[in-house]
Amino acid sequence: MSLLCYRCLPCFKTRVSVSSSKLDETESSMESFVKLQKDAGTILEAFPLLPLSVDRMNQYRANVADYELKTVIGRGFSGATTISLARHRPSKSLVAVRKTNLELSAEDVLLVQNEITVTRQLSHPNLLPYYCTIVINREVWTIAPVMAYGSVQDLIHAHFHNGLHELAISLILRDVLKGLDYLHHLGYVHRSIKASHILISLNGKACLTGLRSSISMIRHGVRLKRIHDFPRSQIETNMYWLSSQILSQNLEGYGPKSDMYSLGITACEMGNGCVPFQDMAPSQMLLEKSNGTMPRLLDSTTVDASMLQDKEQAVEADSIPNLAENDAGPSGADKGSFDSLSSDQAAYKRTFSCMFHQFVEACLHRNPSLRPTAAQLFHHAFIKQVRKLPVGLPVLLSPVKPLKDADPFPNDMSGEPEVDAVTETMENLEIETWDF
Amino acid sequence: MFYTPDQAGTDGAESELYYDRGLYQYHSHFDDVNPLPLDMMYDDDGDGLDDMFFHRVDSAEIIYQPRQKKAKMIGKYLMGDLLGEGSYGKVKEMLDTETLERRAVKILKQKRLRKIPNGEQNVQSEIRFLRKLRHKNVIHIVDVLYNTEKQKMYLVMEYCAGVIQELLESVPDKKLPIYQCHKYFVQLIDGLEYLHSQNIVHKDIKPGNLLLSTAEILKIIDLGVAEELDMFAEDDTCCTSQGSPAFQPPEIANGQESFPGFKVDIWSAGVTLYNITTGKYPYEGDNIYKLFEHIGKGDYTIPEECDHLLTELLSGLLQKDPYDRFTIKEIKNHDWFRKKHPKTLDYVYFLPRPDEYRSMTVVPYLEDLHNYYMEDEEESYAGESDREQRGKREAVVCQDMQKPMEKKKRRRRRRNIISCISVKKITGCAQS
Repeated sequence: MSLLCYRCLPCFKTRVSVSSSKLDETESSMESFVKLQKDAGTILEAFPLLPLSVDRMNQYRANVADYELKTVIGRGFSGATTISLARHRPSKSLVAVRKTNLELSAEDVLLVQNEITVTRQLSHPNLLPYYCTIVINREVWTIAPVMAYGSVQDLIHAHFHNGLHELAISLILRDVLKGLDYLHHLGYVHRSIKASHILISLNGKACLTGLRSSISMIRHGVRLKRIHDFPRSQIETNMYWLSSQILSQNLEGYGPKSDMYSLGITACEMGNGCVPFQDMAPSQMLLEKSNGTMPRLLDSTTVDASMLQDKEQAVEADSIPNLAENDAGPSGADKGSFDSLSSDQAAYKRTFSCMFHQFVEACLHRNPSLRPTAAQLFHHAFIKQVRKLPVGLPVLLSPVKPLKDADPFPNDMSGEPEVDAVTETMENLEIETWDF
Repeated sequence: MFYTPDQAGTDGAESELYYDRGLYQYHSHFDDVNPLPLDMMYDDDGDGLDDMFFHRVDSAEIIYQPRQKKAKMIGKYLMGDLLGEGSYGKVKEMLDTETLERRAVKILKQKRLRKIPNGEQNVQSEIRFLRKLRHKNVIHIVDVLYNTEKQKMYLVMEYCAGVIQELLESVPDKKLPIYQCHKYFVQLIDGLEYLHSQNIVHKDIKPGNLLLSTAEILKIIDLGVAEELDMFAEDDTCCTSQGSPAFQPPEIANGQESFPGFKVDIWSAGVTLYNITTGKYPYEGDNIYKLFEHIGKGDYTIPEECDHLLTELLSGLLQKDPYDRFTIKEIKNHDWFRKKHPKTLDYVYFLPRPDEYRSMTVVPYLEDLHNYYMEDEEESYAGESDREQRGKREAVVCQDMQKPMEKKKRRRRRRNIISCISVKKITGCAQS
């Protein structure tokens, strides 16, 4: 039987009285529940919500003393959040502890609260779960599994400056689409899909996280066709991924299809190694999006060879070829460097498959009703191509070494050096931000 | 009247950019709009529309050609088109260029304020109230900017798609379907309850002071004549009122020296509900004296088309004696208020002006801000092939190291500088 609200004892009792046929079964679970309660001792849980499973909840209790903090592996939420590696003392396994200082504006605190409540109500293999949440003084701690490869943005920054391998992108997007389909099915719009919100686990599974800006389309028990809420807080960090439907703030409104646009931008981010529009001021980005400029993947089919040669001659003249759908002439950004040129050449040397181009194009379609849904995209040829792939994501990501967390503590004494080793790997990883 | 862009045919693709959407105003954030004189179309802030001209074709049609929209920044805000005009000043659209939020700005000129009785005082108290208040059904003030040199004040507020008055005026019988009326009235009462809980009497509730956001959230605006009750006052007794005459209760029409303040808002909410459900006013009069005479007598009829629940609620709201009038609690407990009204097909939407979705009017200004259509005269009619040629020419210029400045200048002139998928490396892409 499903223990929908087993933390809430009175509620549980009423259910027992109603379903007399299942009385025996319920009572036994009830006993185990009471036992569980006793085991757990004082539960400091801030948000009594859907547990993932009794085992896990039992394993990761909301007790500060259970977690021994190690290295800081990332920061997020404008520096208010630090993500640390921690050892869970009872099970001796590694977990990620996300500490958020709640000395924020009231709006931002609401965001933190929104993230935790929404995340705890969801359960899907491709959404990062929160094992438990603890409020200590002015901090809220969220215990989550360690994602050994960090975020996709970290991977791009540290190793794949010119973008990931197409098959790797396909594998990542396949997982993200599953999670996204689940979210949309439940009536949520994520509103901040981007590479830094996709985390990769040790065995190469991608998890979606960062539900801070997510919003439910269900109001007063009715699923709305469109919503108009503008994501106010922290908009600066998300706006480059947002669809023009969200940004235009008009009567048209937006829906889950907005996430599909963000997914298209994320696909470009992963393929090109940089975010479309990123060198523009926000207002110019808005203008480009409202004019219908469609970003695209950079490869030999989209980067013009003659232009490249022109640019080679004009290296010192700080010219960078830039491309867009309508206008493929050489126009410029204000600054350039040798680095950009080399990455441009890298873009010219590779060729993404036709399917990948189609995938991105479909996601970024100007008319939201013509963008495919997450479920439809799951059957797209670009995603299908990796179904029978003999190798997994870790192989495609190799030289990158994951943060190993496979039971590094056989016993208490030998635990410490292993953590040091892990810390070393961490440093080698050069993870800049492990952003949730 | 309607406007057509001059020489639309010859301009081809460029004509859309020259099209001045600012002239499609929709009415208005204020009830008391004067019909807009033509010279108002010119932006008197001197932002370069002087070379725009009008010539009369016939009495109804005016053709004009503005050059382009010049971007004007007020702090971090980019000014957009006119949204409406009130007795106090213009309301324009703005864009917060940092967060990209749409805003509306009320532009107040000190010169003009001084001419209005209590003008400056009312504005100051409105700012004070709005800063203090925070409710989804009360307009939220975001920023107040002053320009001491020009003696101007900018009240930056959240953007709303339109005003309820405008919905009423867009339909022939000037009324809204019951389902829609109920949706708005519930929100009006929520907003009023909040205002009263904060000891504020609005005193000027009317369809012209009720805005709707893009998500159809009702926002009460214009607290210029509102009164804050003393924290230690025993009751809600008020002595003054400057609200709109047709929405004033009998105690004010009869000239009583003092009256319970909250009940003034209840009465006005009653007249508002009467107005949006029936398209009429309970009391009318050719002039203010006759109107007040009628209100003072307290004789009015509720049209038969109203069902018995609505009739009951209206008569509760329009009680002559303020002490017999419904309280907010009584309204909330009333069956018409609590009832789920059937959705009907005659839902009234905003007229598609300036476009279907009331999209941002700042886009042409953004193009100017980022130099998108700074074409040379000779090139302004450039076709696709010309454009390609120009591309080559520019490439040549790019190679000319001697004139980096000129090259940069020329590059900026091009429309659609698209570096969206630039290969430029992330500089400090620290996301958070």
